[in-house]
Amino acid sequence: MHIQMPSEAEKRRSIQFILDEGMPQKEPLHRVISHLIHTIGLRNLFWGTWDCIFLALLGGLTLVILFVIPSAVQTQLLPLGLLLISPAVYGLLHGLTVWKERQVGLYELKLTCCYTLKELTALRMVFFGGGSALLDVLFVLCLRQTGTVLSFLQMLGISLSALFLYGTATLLVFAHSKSQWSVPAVWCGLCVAPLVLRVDLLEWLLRIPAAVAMVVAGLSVLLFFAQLEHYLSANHEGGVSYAVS
Amino acid sequence: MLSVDHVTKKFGKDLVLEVITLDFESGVYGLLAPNGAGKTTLIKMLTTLLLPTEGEIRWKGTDIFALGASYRAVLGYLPQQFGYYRDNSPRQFLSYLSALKGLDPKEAERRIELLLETVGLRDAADKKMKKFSGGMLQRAGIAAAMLNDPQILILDEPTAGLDPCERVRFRNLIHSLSQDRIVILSTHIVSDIETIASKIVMLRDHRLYCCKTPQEVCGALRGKVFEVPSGTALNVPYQFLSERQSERGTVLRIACETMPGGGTPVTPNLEDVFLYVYGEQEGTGHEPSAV
Repeated sequence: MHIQMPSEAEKRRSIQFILDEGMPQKEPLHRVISHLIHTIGLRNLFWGTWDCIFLALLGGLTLVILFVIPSAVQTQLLPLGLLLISPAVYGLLHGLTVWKERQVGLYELKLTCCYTLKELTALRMVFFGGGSALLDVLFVLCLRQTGTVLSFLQMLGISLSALFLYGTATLLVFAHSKSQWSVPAVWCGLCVAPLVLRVDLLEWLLRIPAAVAMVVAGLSVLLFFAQLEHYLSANHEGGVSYAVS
Repeated sequence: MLSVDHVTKKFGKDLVLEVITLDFESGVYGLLAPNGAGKTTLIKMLTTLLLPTEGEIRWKGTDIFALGASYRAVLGYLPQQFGYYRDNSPRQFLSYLSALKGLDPKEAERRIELLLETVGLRDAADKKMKKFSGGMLQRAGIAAAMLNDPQILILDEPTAGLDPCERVRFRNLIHSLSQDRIVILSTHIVSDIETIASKIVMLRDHRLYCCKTPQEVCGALRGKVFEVPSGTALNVPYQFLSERQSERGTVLRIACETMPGGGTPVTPNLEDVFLYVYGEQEGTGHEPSAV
């Protein structure tokens, strides 16, 4: 009895079918983000958080004014501003919105929806990062007007690197810890340390070529999005408290 | 079917739940236990808020964490502390949540109107929720949990803080919504579930104590519950359950193996079982026998 064996092409198709069903491909991040924006909409994405966004931007603007004027006189403040301002704006945006979600009492409920608070938070982080980057550009333009020794691209590269490295650190900690204060506290400590230790940070930053600063900024952005993708795909415990009742 | 398969939960070294195995099918399940027994921890694992330390929870044979969004799409959850945006009306709030639940906007609008009618909030649909009473807020919470017409509805202590009238209304509402879906109602208030639950799930000492019908649960104490006038000398081992006032004074309700002198046998109810299983022991000590 002659049994017709499948051809090589048929075998490959069957194997591919089994693999596709058993091991589905992870959706690329840009498609996930685009789907979320299309499905949820910007209005619902920031529903109930506009007051937090307003306060965060007000805080950011205040910090910009507080830094731009003195740093024209005291150049040692310039590195502090570059490393702190944009992470501070991002930190305020993210921190205040997360804090409000917890205070309002919708944190746990939103974690159980089809589109969870984790996805909302991730999408908000993308917008907060973009918004902070825009503010960063304005901040650096203002600084240039005061006549700084660093070039526009040097300052922009350093500031954007700080922003997205801070964002990456926030994502890393946020996924595993309920503490909202560890990253801001450590970041501020690291930025203030050179002043306290009387290290001339400006001298160090002057040595960084603008191209290198911008490349590091680009890599920081990639790292941020890679961490964001990991954050979205990993299973983390949610919930405000580990209630034993 | 929703299956809890040998699930254990620990927080560090603290054991909260140990080797819990349960199967849920259509009907109302009353999750009954005192505060601190692990009800909310179990609820949070069923709603994917917590990961089991060991074991698996499956929906139609597949791990719920692997299912992800497709499991959450069939889940409706009312947490113990129900939050809301104070300046939203229920219609605005439900519209927002329907977007998070992935509902089509037109379908969401239809569901919202239907649910506002069902929970009795139609007249207050456009009023700000900061003006709502506790009962109204809980009803809004139920409407939110029902938005996606879930196959699994989980309610964590839904009647806490409600007055007796609102609790009765809430019970009737749950009963009307329980057709063709799994409803899991966690509570330590016995009267919430004794008339509507088809199965009672009790937890004790971190483990599953029983999962039986109310009749079976109460039947385990049949012939063991008695009422005696206060002050009666009891010369048999007994467990004090509760007391009430009668025309002839205070009457004690006790559980014991043999009828005490001066005692009257009574039909055990769910509260008797709750107090027997979880209550302090008095008289000559004994371990409550399994229900």
